[in-house]
Parts: sequence; structure tokens; C-alpha cells
Amino acid sequence: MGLFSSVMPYNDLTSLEDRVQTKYVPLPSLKVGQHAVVERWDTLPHVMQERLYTLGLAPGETVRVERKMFSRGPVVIAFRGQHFALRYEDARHLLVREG
Amino acid sequence: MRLALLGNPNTGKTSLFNMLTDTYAAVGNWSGVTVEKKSGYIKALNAELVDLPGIYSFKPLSSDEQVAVRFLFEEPVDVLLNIVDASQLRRNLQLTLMLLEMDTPLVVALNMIDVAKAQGHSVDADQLSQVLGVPVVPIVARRGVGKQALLSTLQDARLKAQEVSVSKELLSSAGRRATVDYGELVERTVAAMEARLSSLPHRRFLAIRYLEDHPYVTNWLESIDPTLRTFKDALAREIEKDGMTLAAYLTAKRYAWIDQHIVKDVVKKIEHTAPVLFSQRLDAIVTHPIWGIPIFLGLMYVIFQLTFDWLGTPLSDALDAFFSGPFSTEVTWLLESIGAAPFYRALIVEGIIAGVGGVLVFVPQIFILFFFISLLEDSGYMARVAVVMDRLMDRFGLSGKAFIPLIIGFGCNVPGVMASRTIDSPRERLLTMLIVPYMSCSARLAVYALFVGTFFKQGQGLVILSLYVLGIVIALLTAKWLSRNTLHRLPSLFLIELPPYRLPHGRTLFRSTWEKGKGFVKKAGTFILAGSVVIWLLSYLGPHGVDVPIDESFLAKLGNFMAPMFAPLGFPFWQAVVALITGFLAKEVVISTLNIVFYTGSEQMLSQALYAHFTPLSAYAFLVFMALYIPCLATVATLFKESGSKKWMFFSIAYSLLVAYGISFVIYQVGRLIGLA
Repeated sequence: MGLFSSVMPYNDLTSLEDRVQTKYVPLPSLKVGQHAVVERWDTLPHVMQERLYTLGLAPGETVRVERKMFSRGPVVIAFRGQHFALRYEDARHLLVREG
Repeated sequence: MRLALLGNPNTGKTSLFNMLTDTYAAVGNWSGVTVEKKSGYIKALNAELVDLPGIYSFKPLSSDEQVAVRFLFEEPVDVLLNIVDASQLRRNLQLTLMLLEMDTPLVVALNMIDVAKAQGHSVDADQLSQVLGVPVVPIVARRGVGKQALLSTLQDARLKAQEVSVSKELLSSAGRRATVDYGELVERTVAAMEARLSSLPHRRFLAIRYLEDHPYVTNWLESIDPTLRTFKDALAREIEKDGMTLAAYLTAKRYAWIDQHIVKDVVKKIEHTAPVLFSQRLDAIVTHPIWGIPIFLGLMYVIFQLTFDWLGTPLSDALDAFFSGPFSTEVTWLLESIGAAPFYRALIVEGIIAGVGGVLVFVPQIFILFFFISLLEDSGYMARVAVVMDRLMDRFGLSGKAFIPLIIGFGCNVPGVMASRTIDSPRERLLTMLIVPYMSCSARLAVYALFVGTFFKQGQGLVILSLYVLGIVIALLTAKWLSRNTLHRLPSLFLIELPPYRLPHGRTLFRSTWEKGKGFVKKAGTFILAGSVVIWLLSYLGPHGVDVPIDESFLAKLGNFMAPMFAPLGFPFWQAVVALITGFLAKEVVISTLNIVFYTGSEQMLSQALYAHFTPLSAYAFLVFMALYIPCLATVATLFKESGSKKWMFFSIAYSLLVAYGISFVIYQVGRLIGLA
């Protein structure tokens, strides 16, 4: 599967807003070990978006929650064989669909 | 010839540097170890190799990446050496594709083929070379495999580069290098921009970095041709219709190219027996949300015991016995036999050997500590510690990475300040450096032990613990205060890669330890030597001549002059003041100074002398002052070197004096009020 194949066009934004509320959950709300597809990250700081793009993480990519540190500490995620730790405040901007 | 080594973090870049150059730079298994650019010499090629900090792309986010990017733009490089991690080929090739857009010859060193195999991927170096259109040399950097092949390839690349610069026709053959087709819209814009930049080298590279909003390139190109912006804006509008930013679109195109050419042809799935579960299993334990912190603290406890107790102290004591015993006697005898004047004899034995030797005795401890720090870095555990501690440290405006320097600071502040290099955000790095001196180092512990043993019959451990805790509290409050007020505008980005655990390589480990520790030895030979001489001279000379009794020396005069200032703290006599002044040289000097100024020879006699001058309350106030006042000379010098700022060095000195005086004052006065005096 190509990296950015399931990127949602921005002009679908209105219809998506409702779905965001119902269907997508912030990444840290997943359980450890769960897989999910990143769907939206519009509110993630731009710098972080760009860095994650370079590393190969973008909407459409499947991630796995490896570990969550206690009391909203960093979240360790795995994608394409690499492990990265993000702060909770950044991770919650990644809206994901379980699966 | 000059070569530049570039690659993603954690790809074995510094190992490759060590393998090629025989000179040394620190290696670590986590991002940010190479904070400054380091360069070494390759004899076989008569070339300089510059080791640049690991970068994921050309967008500079940390001080590391700025170093790498500025170097590439400002310094002439003959050949680029790009190290690529075969087990993370897809991500690593992003950078390779960008480097291919430059005109400079490129050689790819394909590292970690063994790791890729263990993960079930076989990477065909020849095929990769075909696809990229540049030489690809498989290596195992840690074990030095592939060195000869790489050296001769680099040599060829240079020769070819020279031919190209001579004959223009050959330039077309360089066109075999892989080019990503960014799509008709982008390519048309890039072509138009290149036409306008005809006087510059690396035009395609610059045009694409410009489209990616690279800050450095943007400033530079727009100063040459301000109309470029209209090209970019027009293109950005078109691309964004499809719902992507221009920079993301370009990245996506590169990934599409990689998926099409590399993932299909170059990487083959193979049977693999041992999936890399080891790292994950270990991580499940050491980064456990609850047990992670106790495990880390337990590990630090063992390291500390080894460094300062089980292993380090016997070695230090042996060195100490050697310096103060046979060595001093031998030197004295030697000086007498060659008929040296008493002045020089006293200077060398009482000044230099006592002063420099007093610091050199810490060398075993410093090296043991650095060995373990290098071990933790190389194995990949350091990155985990940063993750485990981040939540706690974040509350005080620090990152998880700040924890290691602080822990090291308990041993000695100098390596603690140096270890803050590993923090890539400049804001957090500076903040960490400034608070490391509040960690009570082992030198201070010696002074605590002396006073507490004299004045407190019960709860000695508790009194000492209170001084440690006081230091930690001051450090954290200072961090919080500074991050709120002066330093809050500098941004910080927290994204830590957790590389697979790797067994550290013996040779690299020892070189790394030596490289870190040698600075300490060097310091003992330079300004601690100078400082010892000055302080000894002040105690040897007085207004009435040379070799005066110590209470008529300049040192005593100086102490008497400043003593009234310490009346509110409960110790207004010159001996205490002089001990504090000389303690600036090294905190453990406080004890030796007290020994000299009270004419005592043994610890018991010193205790009696202290008992005559201090009360338990004023002794505690003295300890508090000693714990918090100016960091020692070596720490101040390191602070200056590492922060590169006189302003912050003086801030550290002034602030710590103020804090020490204030807290000591409050403790003494409140203690008197409630009748503890």
C-alpha cells in the first residue's frame, strides 16, 4: 500500500467533522498493543507533522501503540518497523480509526 | 579533499567515522550524540572526513540539524558519503534522494545489512546502485567490514569528479543518477526556477528545498531573486487544491518513487529464524509504565555504588595515598638533592602536588562513571530513560533527556554539564546545564561527612539527605522559574527514536570513555594547576614578607576582610571564609584548607577545632552555603565552554551565590529565633 494513498481531500472537511466526533479517537485512547490507522492530524503542530511525514508516518498509515507511560506521559508508537516516542499532548492530535 | 558524512540518526554514522579515520568522535546509540561537527583525517585518501550530526531531512528543527545544513551550504565538499541503514531503507532513502539532487558526487555506504536480514529483508547492494545511479558499498560499521571497498570507491568518486570538472561532455554521464519525477506541475516550476538561478550550483536541490520552505534556502534565494516567490505561491495553490501542503506532496512523491523502484526490486523477503523480539521484550520491562522508573533508579544505584564505592573509591584512595605519601616524599627528596630553593620546594609539594593531586584522585571515578554512561548510550538504553522520565521532568520545564546529566551531576558536576550535550533542544540543554551544579557532587559529600560527624550525633544520614534534597529542590524550582521567564520562547520538539538494542562494541566503548574523560585530566593539568599555585602563593605570602604564619598571610587578610559579611550566617571568622574561597577551586579543597588554617593534622584535631568555632546551627548554615554557592572552577569553566556564553556563566555564579546566601541566612536566623543556637 502506498504511503499517502488514503489521504482525505481537505474539501471533504465538513462532512468529516461529524465523523471525527463519532468514529475517530485520539491515539492515546487506544490500548497498548492495538493497531489503528491514522486518519486526521490537522491540529498537530506543523513542525511535528512535517517531521512525521519525513519519517514515513502520515494519515493513512497504520500504527501500533507500543507503550503508554503513566499519568499522560510519552506514548511509544511503532510504524514500519521503527519505534518513536511522542509526548501525550502531541499524540492526542493524531486521530485514528481502530482496526 | 574533503568528504562529508551524512545520514539519519542511529544508523551507525559515528561508527563508520571511527572505522574510516582512526581518530575519534563520541558514538552513541541515540539521536543527538554528535552535537558539534567533528572532523577526522583519512590517511589512505589524504582527505578530511567531516562527521555531521544525524538528520532525517533538510528541515532544521534542532541545533544538530542546523549544523549539518549550514555546513553543506557554506563549506565546499568534494564527495558526499551517505550512510544508509538497510533495515530502515525506505525512510533512509528520503535523505539519499535529496542528496542526489545536489551536483556533488555521492557514495552510499549500506550499513546494517545483518540487522535487515534478521528482520527478514535482504537488500541487494548492486541492484540499489543500479537504481540510484551512484556507487553503493555494503559495510558493517561496528565491525569494520567493508572499509577497503569503501575507501577505493571514494577514491574513484573523487577522480571522476575531477574529470567531470575538466570535460563538460562527461557531465551528461552524471545524468544517470536517479531523479525523482515530482509530476508535471512541479517539474515545470522547478525548471523555470532553475533558469533564473543559472549562476548557482546545486540548482535543482536549491529549487526543491525552496519549495519545501527551507528557511535558510528561502532567505538566500529570495535575496537573489525576489520573484521566485510568485512561482512557489502559484504552485502551492495548485497542489493544495488536492488537499496536501507542497512540502508533504514532495515527500509523498519521493516515497512513491522509493516504493516503486526500491521496495519492489532491491529488497527481497527472505526466511528469517530470529525475529527481533529481543528489543521488544526488553522494552516491555525497562520502559514499563510503572516499573520503568524503579528499574532505572536501581540501575543508577548499582552504577553509583560501583563508581563511588565498590570500585572507584579504593582506586581513588590508592591514588591519594600515592600522591600524599611516596610521591610527595620522593619529589621533596629529589628537590632537596638538586638544591632547589625552599620556595620552589614548598610551591611544588604543598601547592602543585597537593592541589593537582587532589583533583587527579578523582580520575578513576570519572572514568568508571563515563564507561557506564557510554555503555548506556551505545546500547540504546539512554533513549528509553528519556522516555521513562519525561513526564516527571516536563513539570519543571525540562525534557526526559535532562535526567541523565542531573544524575551524573551527583558524581561530579563537570561531566554532568558535559552530558547535557545530548539534549538536542537548545532551550532544555541550557536549562539543564544551569541546574546541574545544584546536584551535590561527591566532593561536597566529603565536607558534609566531616561536619555532620562533628556536630550531629543522631540522624547523621538524615542531615546529609536534607542537603541533597535541598539541592534538588533548588534545581527544580530554578528550572521552573527560568523556563517560565527567560527561556520560554525557544521551542522544543519531543520525538525520540527508540533504536533496537545493540551490544556495544568493546573498542568503540573504550574510545568513547577515554574521549569523554580526557577533558577532565586535561583540566587538572591546566587551570587547576594555575589555581593551586595562586592559592598557595596567597597563603605563603603576607604583607610582612614570605613564608609567613598563615594567619598573617594575604589569604587571612582576605578572609578577615570578607568575614563580617558572613555574620548573619553565623560564621564570621576568616578560616571559614577562606575555606569557602578556596573551595571555589574544588569543593573538596574546603577540607584541606580548614586543615591548614586550623593547624590540624588529623581528622580528630580538626573536629575539635571546628567544635570551638561552630555551633551545630552555624555548622548547618555553613554546609547549606557550601552546598549551593558558586559551582567549582572546573564546573564554571565547563559551563562557559558548553553554553558558549559568558552571560550564562556569570548568571550561574551570581545566582548561586545569592541563593546560597539567602537560604543560609534564613536557616540561621530562623534557627536562632526558635532557639536552636
